[in-house]
Amino acid sequence: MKTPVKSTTIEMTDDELDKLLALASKPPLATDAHELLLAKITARQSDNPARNVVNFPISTKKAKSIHWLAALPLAASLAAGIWLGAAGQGTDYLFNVSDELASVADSFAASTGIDDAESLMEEDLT
Amino acid sequence: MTGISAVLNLQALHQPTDAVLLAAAVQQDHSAFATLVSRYYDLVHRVVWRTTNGHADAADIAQEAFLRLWKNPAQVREAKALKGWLMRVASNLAMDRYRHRPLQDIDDAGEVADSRPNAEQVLTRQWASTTVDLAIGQLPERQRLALSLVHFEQMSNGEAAAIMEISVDAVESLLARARRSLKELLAAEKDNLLASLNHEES
Repeated sequence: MKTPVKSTTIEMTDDELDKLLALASKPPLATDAHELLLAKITARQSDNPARNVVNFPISTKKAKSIHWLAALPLAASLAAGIWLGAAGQGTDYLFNVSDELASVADSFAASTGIDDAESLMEEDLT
Repeated sequence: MTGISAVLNLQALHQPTDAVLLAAAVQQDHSAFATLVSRYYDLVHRVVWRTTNGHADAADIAQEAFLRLWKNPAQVREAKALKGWLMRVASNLAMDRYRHRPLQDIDDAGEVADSRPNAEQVLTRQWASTTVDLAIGQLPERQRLALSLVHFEQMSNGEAAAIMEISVDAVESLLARARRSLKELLAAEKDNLLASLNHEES
């Protein structure tokens, strides 16, 4: 076995290190490594024959930009609502709209002819 | 002798370039790919073996790198970068797989059992190899890879930098730290190791 040698405190030189590194094991390579790899490739190819279908490229970037576009009108609407509320203009506008709606409803009620229906029925009965 | 070297030179001239082989591999040409395998497999295997500190899965990892190439050869944009691409893929696979493996202690080298008769020289050599291997195995993986590429595979610092995707300065720094660490790790056994080397030479 190894013979013990009294160790010195002198630092190891680069040359000595290179000599020691030459002692490192050599990687063992199987003699049939290439054949095994090529056989594996052939086996995989037979498992997955070449496809005739070409996939469409899917752009995720485009999909993301569409999401942002959809959010824009919502954000603009929210901003407009906040601005109108802060300026106090929205309330006037809303009151005008409600008055308009009430008058329209009245006009619909006036033209239904329900009031006239009773008299017509009375006429029929007489 | 002159005739043989002339034939060899002629063969070298007629050997297809990586670009030609890669283009054929894109068309799923087996023989072209087999030539690439014979050209680079051993080199990739050696680097993976050293990066994984001699683990048995080195062959699997080297094969996986080639299978990825076969699956999509077009991902190698420049044929001259093929060697670097294979080394990079293989070394990344190796480091991913062994990132969390516990390190062995250099003191674990101990005695090497061998049943062969009169095997003192063989045992001494095995002990020396194991000691150096364990010291290399204790290096951080990036230092081990740099050492493997530059020292053992005789690549230039520039080539190693391209494979490791770092600067040349960074490769030099890794090598310097690796060598410094190895000197410290092997300092205690230096004289015995050098003696085993001298004994072998005589």
